[in-house]
Amino acid sequence: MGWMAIVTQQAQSVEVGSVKSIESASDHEILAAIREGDELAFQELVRRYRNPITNFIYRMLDDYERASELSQETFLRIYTSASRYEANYSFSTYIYRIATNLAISELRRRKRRRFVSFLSPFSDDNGDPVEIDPSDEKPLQDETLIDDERRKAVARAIKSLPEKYRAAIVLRDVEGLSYDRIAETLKLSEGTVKSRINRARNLLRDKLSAYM
Amino acid sequence: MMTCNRIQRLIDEADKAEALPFVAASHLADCPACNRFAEERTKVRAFLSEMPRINAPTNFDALLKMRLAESKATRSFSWFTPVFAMRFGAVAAVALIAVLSAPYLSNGNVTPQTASSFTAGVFIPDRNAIRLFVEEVETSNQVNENGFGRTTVAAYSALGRGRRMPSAPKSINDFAVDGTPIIIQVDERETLSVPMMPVSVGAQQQMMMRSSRSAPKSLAVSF
Repeated sequence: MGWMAIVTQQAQSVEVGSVKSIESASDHEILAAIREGDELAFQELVRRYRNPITNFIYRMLDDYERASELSQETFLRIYTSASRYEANYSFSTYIYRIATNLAISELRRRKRRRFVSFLSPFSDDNGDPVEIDPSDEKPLQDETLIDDERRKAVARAIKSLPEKYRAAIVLRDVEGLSYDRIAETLKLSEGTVKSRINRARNLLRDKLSAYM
Repeated sequence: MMTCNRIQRLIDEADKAEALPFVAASHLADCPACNRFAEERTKVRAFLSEMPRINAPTNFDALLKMRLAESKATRSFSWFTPVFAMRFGAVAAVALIAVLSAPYLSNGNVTPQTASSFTAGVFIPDRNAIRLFVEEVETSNQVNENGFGRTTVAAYSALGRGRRMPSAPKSINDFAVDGTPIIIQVDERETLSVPMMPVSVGAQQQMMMRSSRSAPKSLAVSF
């Protein structure tokens, strides 16, 4: 019996229609149920992944509204292509791969459509408009303010990374994926993933030297 | 003994400081540079992991439901989409090119054109063709009875300079109906004649040639 037939059989035996069992069903079982037209199963999948996927895309783009849209697009693609999904790797690899491709496509689209914001006539090294944030003349004494400023600096530093380094470092140090999972997601060798993460961290270290 | 580069790679790849191999951990005690590297790496990774987690908006599910409903509605007419129109256009364009270039690819009679009035067409190259890179072009002022001039080129193929083309030269008259005859010097001893479409005098040319035991034939020209 093939892998997909086994998954389908398990989905039927778990009674995916009930709320209690659906929460304990595996991702593959959920997807098999979606393929059968189970709307509850799809809702469960969305519940599991909407926050991590939105967070991941947000860290890639630094744009919450667009991150939310692309996160929805990710689930839309999962739903419409459920019948074509092959369970050769974990589902989380699959969904992160779709989200990564959407985020990188968005980054490339933005590069092609560079514009100057009336609010921000200045751009960073990548040509993207940056907000003017003049430093306060008063010394920062509040720890919260320092942390907040550092978080902004980290977000700007991530945003300044080339897209291929950005995806690898966000998946590793923000989302906490393992090297082999990142390699599967990005369709790269583990060696290449490690190399890109190493370079990304070097770049971030340089950009965040003031906080070291 | 491990080098500092190797140690730093291990530091970079370790999930946690405690996961370092013993040899790397003991190296840190004696190496300020690696120690500093480890501290910086720990800070960078901490900065990233401490970034606040962003949640999807509260109306995420409702918006997704709307988009799903729209997607199902538009799929009813999915056969006629901008992508379909583009693909159809691309296929039509290729067919048009094939039709226009067919007379030039065939061995049949071709209405001769003078070199000065010819506009190089677009050909679909044979995948077995060998690309020749033209080095020198010399155009003669002499024309044959059909109004064709003669261009001599020195060329080499991607297979290597001086490699012999597997064909036997034919007389100039055999190629007259196809276009301007070209003599290609393959090496210092042998020359090879292939037909080529007349082009502007002095233009640099690349030709795609079919490699075969019979006379080679020009299949494509690009500039």
